[in-house]
Amino acid sequence: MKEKKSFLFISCEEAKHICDKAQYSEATPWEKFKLGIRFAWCRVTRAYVNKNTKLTKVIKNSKIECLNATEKQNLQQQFKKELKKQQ
Amino acid sequence: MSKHKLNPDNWIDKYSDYLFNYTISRVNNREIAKDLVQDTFFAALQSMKNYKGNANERTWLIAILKRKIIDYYRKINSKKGQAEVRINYNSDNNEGVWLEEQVADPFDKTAEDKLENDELGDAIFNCLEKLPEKQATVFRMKTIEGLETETICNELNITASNLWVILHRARNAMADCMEKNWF
Repeated sequence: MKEKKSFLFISCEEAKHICDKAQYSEATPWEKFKLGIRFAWCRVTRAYVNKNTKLTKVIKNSKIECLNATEKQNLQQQFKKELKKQQ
Repeated sequence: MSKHKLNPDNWIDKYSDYLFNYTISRVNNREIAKDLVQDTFFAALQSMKNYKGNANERTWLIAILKRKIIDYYRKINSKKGQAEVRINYNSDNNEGVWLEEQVADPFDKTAEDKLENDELGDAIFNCLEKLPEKQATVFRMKTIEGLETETICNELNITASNLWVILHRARNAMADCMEKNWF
């Protein structure tokens, strides 16, 4: 049977999901509020939020860049052509 | 006996981002970085027969890329002449003296910062390489490229809830890996 969702209290899994969304600024203020409540009393949620926030910060600080999908695809095509020439 | 083997079929998927990030932090131009990475892969294909297997694939590719970057700077310097900086002196005696590479930019990163940033980049890409391909792709698109959820879903043909599940797993694995190797 489907469990009835609480209006204010969320499960640990839901808290983690909101926390993930919050890392990309995609959580709504209401979701963040519910996460805040869970964060106040749940040790597991607190640990997850800290770990997740730390990861976001470190990625942001690194300023790493990568090729986008189209660039990678073009590179892959050129490379395959070259590879065929070699074989 | 050689410990490492080359597998060019995987090069683009496995190493293109790492090589690109390495290059762009040194040449500061996306187009040039892309060209240098492509040249590196082509040169690697031609040098495959010389590979002895002492270094792993990535180290070997980086060694080739370093040569490419040096060649690139040599080329542009030969066009421009020596890289020199003219200083404006207050004293007339020193006017017109040319110095090479003696100007410190206070807003520029220190060598130590740069080194730490390179190491951090290495640690992130090392962890990213360990993720399953789908997780790595989603993590890269969402976290590094900063693409919208909808764009990624359309590109990869997955639902939003599917994306968040994949991303959750990827973030968990990345955080654990970074915990071991960086934090």
